[in-house]
Amino acid sequence: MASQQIIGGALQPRDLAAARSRRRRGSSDGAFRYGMTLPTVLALLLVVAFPLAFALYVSTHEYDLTEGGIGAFTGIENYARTIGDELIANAVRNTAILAVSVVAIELVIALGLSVLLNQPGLRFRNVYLAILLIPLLISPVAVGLIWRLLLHADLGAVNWALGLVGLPKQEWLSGQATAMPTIVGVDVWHETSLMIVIILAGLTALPRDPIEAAAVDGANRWQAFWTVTLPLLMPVLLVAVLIRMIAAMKTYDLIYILTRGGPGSATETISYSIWKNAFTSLDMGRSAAASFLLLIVILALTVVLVRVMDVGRDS
Amino acid sequence: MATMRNDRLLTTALKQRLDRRRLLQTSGAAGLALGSGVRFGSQAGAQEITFSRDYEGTTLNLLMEDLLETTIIEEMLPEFNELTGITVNFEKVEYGVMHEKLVPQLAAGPGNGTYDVLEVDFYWVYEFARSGWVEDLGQRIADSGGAISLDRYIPATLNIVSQADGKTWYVPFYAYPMGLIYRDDLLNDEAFKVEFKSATGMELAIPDSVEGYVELAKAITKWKGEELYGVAMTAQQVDPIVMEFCNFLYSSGGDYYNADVTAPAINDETGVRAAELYIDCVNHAAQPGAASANYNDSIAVYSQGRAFSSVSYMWMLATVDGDEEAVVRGKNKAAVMPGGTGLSGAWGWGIPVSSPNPDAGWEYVRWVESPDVAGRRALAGSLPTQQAPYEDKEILAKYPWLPEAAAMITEGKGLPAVTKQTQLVEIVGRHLADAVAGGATAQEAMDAAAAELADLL
Repeated sequence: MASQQIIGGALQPRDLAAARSRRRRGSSDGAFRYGMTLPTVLALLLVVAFPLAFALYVSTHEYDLTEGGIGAFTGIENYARTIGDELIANAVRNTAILAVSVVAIELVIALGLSVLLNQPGLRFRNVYLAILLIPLLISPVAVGLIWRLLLHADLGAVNWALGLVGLPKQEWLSGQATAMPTIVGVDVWHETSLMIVIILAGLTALPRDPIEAAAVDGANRWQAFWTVTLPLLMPVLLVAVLIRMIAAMKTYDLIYILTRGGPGSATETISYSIWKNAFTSLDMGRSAAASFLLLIVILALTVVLVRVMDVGRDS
Repeated sequence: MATMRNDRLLTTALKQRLDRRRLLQTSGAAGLALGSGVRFGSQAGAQEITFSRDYEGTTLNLLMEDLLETTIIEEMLPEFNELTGITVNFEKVEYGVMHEKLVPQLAAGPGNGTYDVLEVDFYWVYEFARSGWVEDLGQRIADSGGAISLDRYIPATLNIVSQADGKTWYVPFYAYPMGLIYRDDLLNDEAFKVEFKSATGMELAIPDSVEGYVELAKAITKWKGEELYGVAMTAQQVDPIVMEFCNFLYSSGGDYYNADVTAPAINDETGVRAAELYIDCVNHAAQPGAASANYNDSIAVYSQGRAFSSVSYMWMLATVDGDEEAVVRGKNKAAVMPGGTGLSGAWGWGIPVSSPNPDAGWEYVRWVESPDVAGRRALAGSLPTQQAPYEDKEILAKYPWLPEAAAMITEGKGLPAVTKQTQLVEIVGRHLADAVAGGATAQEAMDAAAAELADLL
């Protein structure tokens, strides 16, 4: 009977009834939660999972758009050909040079500017910050077009300025030695703002006590920064570096606008090379394989990023 | 030298505006009519062409390059709508993105694409045809009721942009041959010529060989420095540099492949020599930054009067002479590329297999290429592929350089008949740009290009 008492601390019938009621409520809550998230999951499956799966399928088959539909299964042949392709190897080298260069330079500049902006009592801080963030608001294509005009060898403002001080004009975008450094420079101009946003937020959130304690102990500003602030800021810096590294490895738009991968293939990055294979050679199998190889590298970096963020949150 | 454009038709080609009143007047002369069928006479006068209203209410979508020829037709589309009840939407884009926008649509399968009619560049001809992406138009042309007749077209344009592998895939639209644009005022300025001879020991005259032209251009640059370059060049990777180089290659007697297209020939003695001359011209005769210059850059240099010549498209001549702000407006002439053979390009109309409305799309092609409309387009400034406009007195009076343009079309060459001509352009452009930048010699660059071109066969 529902009201029957059981001696000895065992579950009472009314407890069983309450537990059954909680289970029913829990399962209906769970169903509600799953139901609410189902549209999102379905959308993700449609927009992300299906294209990825299809691309993976294509990457293991012959698929040249000029030869009709998807052809024979080739296994890892597309991957092997991609890895052994000299042009792809060149693109990987260029991508590594570009990514490491821009991230390193942006980190130094952004850290310095963030420390300056974080000074207590700094007047017009918000004005400085607003100005520094302007490049971030401009789309990469517009950035490329603006700098293409500024760097024009004949009509550009940069060479005009050089001429004012007696320096010779440079072929910024078409010289073997100048094209990649120019791309790096434009990217630094555009993306340093993002690093400033991340690093400044991190600096602002740091506890003041350790820094003040260091000052009390006689540390000067440089010593306090090097021994206290920088170690505390390290997780934030790692996050900023990883975020920028992932984005830099996918650089395509600046290359397309400024140099088209040239001169020759001196500035051809992996993303640009994949696009070229897909829409010029029309070899979708190889392009899909190259895309997946890039995805693997970016996924690895993303896993590291997530772990660093988790460590940062826990600490 | 007469102006290249009637000011009432075009104040500046770069702004791509047309005098709507003028177009409507000429359209009115053709006679707009409503009803279930429309008749009007062709320029040839004898044949009446009818258009169907069976597709009334259909909307056609076309991807078009955003330039003057498109604007000319766009202004005339209300007439087509009145005749057929078909609405035509132009999606106008910059050339560089056209191919990548078209390819996914073409590969979508029968009826599944976005575009109903294609505007096809001459070096997509084989790619689209051999991929099975476009209809064979032979039967449609035969059944077109006289609206389309291949006999009306300059034969060279049929080879360049219409026919491939023995079939007709596209109807020629407009031509864009390349040749030499030069400052006729300087060429006829006796004082300038005397000064030039005194400074360089050379006669100022249009040479008859590529070598002679490069020597002339270098001499002018060396003499006049930043004030006047011998040539305004467009050596940006990938398409501009190859299109420009084609003129040097063909006029030197070279080609990308041998005669039966079974092996690359670009790295033979002639091809390498052409590459050497091209590289020399870019680095020692052209304006600074020529190695990364696009057409806007080179037109700007030429329009400002800072270049004696340019190896460029005929539309550049029209652009410069139609620009009120151009320093050199009305001072220019055109000639076939020194050496005799330039690049002859053209656009054509095709019906994609993926077209959702192929029959309505064909109705549009019948209309836009009907003799009357083609003639009016030529009068508005489009370089015709049909022969009749080149014999029309009114058109010749407005554009006296048309005979030179016709010669360029007839004597010019397109690209070799390989399927992946787009890839050919990328390969040659990449290696040639590398050589221009000093990353390889001409021989190394052409050898590397030849190795990759062999894979396209």
